[in-house]
Amino acid sequence: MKNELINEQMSNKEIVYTVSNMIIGFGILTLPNTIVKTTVSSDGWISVLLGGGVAILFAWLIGKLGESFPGEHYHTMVTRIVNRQAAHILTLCFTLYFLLFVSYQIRGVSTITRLYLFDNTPEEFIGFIFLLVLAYGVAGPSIALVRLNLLFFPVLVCILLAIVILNIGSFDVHHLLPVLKSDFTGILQASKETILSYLGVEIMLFYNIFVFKKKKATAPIVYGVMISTVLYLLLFIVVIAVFGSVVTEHTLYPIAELAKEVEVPGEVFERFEFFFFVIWLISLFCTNVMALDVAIVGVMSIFPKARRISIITALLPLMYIIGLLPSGLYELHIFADWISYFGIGVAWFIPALLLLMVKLKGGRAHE
Amino acid sequence: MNKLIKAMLAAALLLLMTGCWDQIEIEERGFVVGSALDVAEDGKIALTFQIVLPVQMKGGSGQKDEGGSPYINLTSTADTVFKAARNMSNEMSRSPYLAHNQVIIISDELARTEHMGDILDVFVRDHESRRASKIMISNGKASDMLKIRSGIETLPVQYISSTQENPDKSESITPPTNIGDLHDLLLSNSSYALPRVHKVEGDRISTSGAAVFNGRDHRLIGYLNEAETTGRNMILGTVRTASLELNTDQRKLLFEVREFRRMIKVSEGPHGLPMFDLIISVKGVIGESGLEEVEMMEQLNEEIKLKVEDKIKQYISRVIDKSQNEYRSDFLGFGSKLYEQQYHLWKKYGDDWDRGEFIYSQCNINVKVDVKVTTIGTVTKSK
Amino acid sequence: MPLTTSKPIYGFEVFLASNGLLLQANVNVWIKKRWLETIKAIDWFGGNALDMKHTVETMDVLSTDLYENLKALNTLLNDPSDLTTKVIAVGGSKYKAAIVSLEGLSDQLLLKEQVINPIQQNTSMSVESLLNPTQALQDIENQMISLQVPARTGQWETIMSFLLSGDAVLLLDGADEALMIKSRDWPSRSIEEPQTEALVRGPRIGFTESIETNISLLRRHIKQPELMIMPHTIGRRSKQTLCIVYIKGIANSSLVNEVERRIKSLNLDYAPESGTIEQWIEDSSLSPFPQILNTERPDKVTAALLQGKVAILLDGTPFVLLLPFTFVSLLHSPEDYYERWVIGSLIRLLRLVAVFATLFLPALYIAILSFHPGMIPFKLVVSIAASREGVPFPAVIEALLMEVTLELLREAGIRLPKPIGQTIGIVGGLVIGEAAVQAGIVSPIMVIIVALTAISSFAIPSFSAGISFRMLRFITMISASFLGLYGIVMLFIMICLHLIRLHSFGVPYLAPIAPSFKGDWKDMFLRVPVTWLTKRPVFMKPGDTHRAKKR
Repeated sequence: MKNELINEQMSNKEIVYTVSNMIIGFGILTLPNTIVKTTVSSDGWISVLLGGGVAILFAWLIGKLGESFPGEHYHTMVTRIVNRQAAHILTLCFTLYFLLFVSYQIRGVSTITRLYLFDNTPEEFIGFIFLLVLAYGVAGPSIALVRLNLLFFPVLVCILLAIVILNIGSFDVHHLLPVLKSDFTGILQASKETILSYLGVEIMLFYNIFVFKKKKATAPIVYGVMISTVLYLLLFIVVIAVFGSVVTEHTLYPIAELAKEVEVPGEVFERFEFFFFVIWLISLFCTNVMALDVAIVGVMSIFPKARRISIITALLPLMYIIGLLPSGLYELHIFADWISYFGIGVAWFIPALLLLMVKLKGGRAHE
Repeated sequence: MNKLIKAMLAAALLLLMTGCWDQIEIEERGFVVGSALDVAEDGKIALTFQIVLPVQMKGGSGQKDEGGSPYINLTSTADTVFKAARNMSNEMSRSPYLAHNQVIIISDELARTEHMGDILDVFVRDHESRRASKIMISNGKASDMLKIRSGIETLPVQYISSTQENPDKSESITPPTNIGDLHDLLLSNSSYALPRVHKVEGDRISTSGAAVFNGRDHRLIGYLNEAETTGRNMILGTVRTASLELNTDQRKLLFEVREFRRMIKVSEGPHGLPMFDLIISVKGVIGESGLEEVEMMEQLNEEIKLKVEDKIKQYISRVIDKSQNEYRSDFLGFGSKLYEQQYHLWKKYGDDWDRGEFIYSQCNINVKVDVKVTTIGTVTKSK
Repeated sequence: MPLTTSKPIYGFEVFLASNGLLLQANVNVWIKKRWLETIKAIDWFGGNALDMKHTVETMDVLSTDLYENLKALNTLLNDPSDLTTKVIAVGGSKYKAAIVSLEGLSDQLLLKEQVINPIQQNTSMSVESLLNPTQALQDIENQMISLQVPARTGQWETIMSFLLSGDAVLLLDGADEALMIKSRDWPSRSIEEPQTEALVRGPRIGFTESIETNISLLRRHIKQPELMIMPHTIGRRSKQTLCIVYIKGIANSSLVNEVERRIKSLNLDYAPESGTIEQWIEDSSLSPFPQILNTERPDKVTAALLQGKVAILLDGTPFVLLLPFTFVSLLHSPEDYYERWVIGSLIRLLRLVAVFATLFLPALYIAILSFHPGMIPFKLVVSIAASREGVPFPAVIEALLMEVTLELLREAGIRLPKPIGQTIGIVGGLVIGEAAVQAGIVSPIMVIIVALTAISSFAIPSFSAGISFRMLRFITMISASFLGLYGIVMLFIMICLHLIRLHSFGVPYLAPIAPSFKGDWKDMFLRVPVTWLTKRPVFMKPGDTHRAKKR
């Protein structure tokens, strides 16, 4: 007997939150610093907007592709559009991308956590704990992971806004001047960086299993990207207004520094950054657990007979080792860039091509 | 599911067996509230930490040793600040904890010889240290400043930092510069001035004046006295209130500035050089009215205005002169105004601003002062 | 309905246990009560006891001989000492009848006045009856006895079940049937204000151990035929009555079906309390969180029923189960609705803070002290460090020590009789706390933290939920001691993950938050004015969504 109280559908709100959280998760820490390198003072906002625009375009395409196959995920979509072999290959690429993404992030989390919270605790150990909690997360049903966003995304937004508001005292409008002095190539170059920060929409290609309603998914996905664009924009401007472009360029994690700058009225807390850290860790966990979950779903669709638990036990050590490979921050950044470019190709361009094929073939999608 | 549980169990065990690397009990930490940097023999650097003894700080606790000092100063000498800090950890029974470091005092001798960035690198990079630690330059040995006991505050550091925040004398005190601000300045390669601290009359300190640093090599090049600091503060617009002494007809008048505004306009002047217009508008009152009649005051109104204007111009021109000609360093922030308002000129001259061709020293800076005397004291007649 | 006969105050009696006589009396009362509870549990609805198969082997039906029947009855009941048999002559005839009942379970006075006297004083009988014993039995039932006769049967099995429930049986010589006469008189507690859920404002009525009383309390609130009371018999040996109560048309039918399915699947000897049922039917027995709410308050049950929830009443306990249970209802108390909305909302927010304080306050203390003293202002750091100077243990041990002491005190306070319980509270709280500080084992700040945590944990309206948070608090403390703030965050994530996966009878545990039902947010952490609360909670998918009309 089916219990009609159990709800296995993703609501629009869940889609919006999932997409936003997925995007913001890691990009938010490093975003301003990558932009300022090639732009003059506050002009980077154009790049943020440009990146957002491109992301919205692809989000729309991904949404449309999902809408053509309600309740199905990427593997079945590709099987329907091309054939089974292609589905295997593309899903494998997708899975690989997500796995690399997660291993990079585990490393990133441990590096930054160590930088701000610990002194002697080895990164390997911090990452290991994170991985364990990830394992606990993916051991359960996927829909629960999506709903985790409902809990944490609003808190993330609140904390970010609090950081912005509490920093109003240290705003220096002069830091934003001069306006519109950077050359176009610089802005484009920065846009290339910002686009990478918008990766994450592609998760909806897999979570499309939870979207049954036809012609409904695109709008919330696009809203999700828009929310993250607005947040990025706000934070970018605030970071520049507080630190100025020169310092921003040389600060590794400007928003964490922004949180450090906050002085809570009444001096209850000496340092506000801990709050930021807590919520940032949580939102990172959300993005990673979803990415890992999707990767596992990907593997399971290629090997339908494998059990979820055995996939998890096989993948986790692998990812842990991959995450440990890059030595030092510089290599880590290169690693991140490679993953991002790979991701853009696999997760944005190929789905766009697939949508094109669907449109060319006509009604076949609705078989 | 069973396997997962087993894995978790194993992990929990691992967790229990591995140590807690960063666990240091609160009473085992040495809370550093202030640091001082000096030149030691053989070109070495001496780092002094002022460490709080919590038991002595707190009133009423049972184990308090009467008359004991609430702090100790520890000094360690090494080639670099980083090494000195490392040595300190080895020599101390408690590991130094920098999160509450409030003041960093650097001796003028060290500031003259070493690059500021090198000196403060440890403090900038260490995640524990606050961006809010204030930096000051001392006349004479920096570690001596940490020994002053005021009697009012428990810690010398508190005494120093609260003296600097004293709002009554704001016009002649250089606004506090913290590590974050300095990081900013170090990266932008511009010249700047840092607050100065020096001993007066044995157990008193004074924080008026400023130490000027050059953006070329971030070394100390000179000092500003109180009047010059006032001028600098006026140019930077950090003055909120000020009192100016005026001499009119053998009388002494005190003009109290209640509202102070400054604006800098940058335009392209002759020879394509930037030209600055500094416009200052002041509103104020006559504080101590030494005058008997209100009528006389009204007569004097115009005169007072002129005197105030003169006085302010005097302050400003002195410091501008010093900046353009004596030190040839732009510690008054004109360069950043140029960057903000005339970006193309900045692009042209930025690299030669206060170095190379010294464009800054060739620029015209026009000062205009606008004075308004709003009310005249609180009483119309003093008698 | 029987209300007061005896009212034992256990604690007091145990306290005075040194008096041997009293103890003796006390034990007697106790045994009697247990015996009564056991027997009375045998189905008061009558018909459901038919599946009682183990007692009767050879004799299934009555014979026509009265003395043979009486003998058989004695054998079937294994010669009980409390069986009273009164053989009387039926007036106006030669018939002999026997009234059999269990002493103490039946109202003997009532039987004498309403059954024995009328039969003996009867003067005439019709000729037909004089010849036909069955007809005579009919006459006795219709004309002489003024008490209710729920059944007339010749089956020993049925007779036994009535007898064991406290009814009297009338046997007539020559008739192969017997009359069951309703004469139950079970001792029970009177209706009192619930001890565990006292309110400042609200009805002062609580459930009792008697399921009849409890149902009548509910009926008094909801006077509608739609109030469904579905009886079930629980316990292979105890034969207790259990009722599933819901309102037809409001409660979601798939929820009701699920509850019934789980209740029917139960197969156990005896359910001493509704807590046993709760543990048998809950969704996840490994979870630290309660998935079913229990309450003693009829007003709470009524409100829940009208929201579309289902209640389970068990005979023998005043605690009624309410399901489904969600995380946010853990913060709710009936008082929130009785007070004005601002107060209700603020108190709920306060309880939310209490939940977080219970879970994380000691852990944060450990994390800040041992890992991140930079988090708190300098002056506070100095005063904490000064107060910790000389404390021999690390913060974790200090915190664990105090928290365990607190739990011990709490547990001891419950066990002890009331007057002593308070004394122990004072002794434990003040003396031990003060002495521990003086002895330098713990710091004064730690005592403050422990006290705050304790107060917070008791501010949570549901006692069982409070326990689960207190339990988790120890885990957060341990994880904080290993990895500081990072450990706390990781554990927090795990708790959230667990909560989000948890379901209570198909309803997600974090229901109005995740999955999100915006309409229900009005009555979540805040309680908006009642005039806005015109809809029932949507997450339970009630049949009828509107509970009030907009003004």
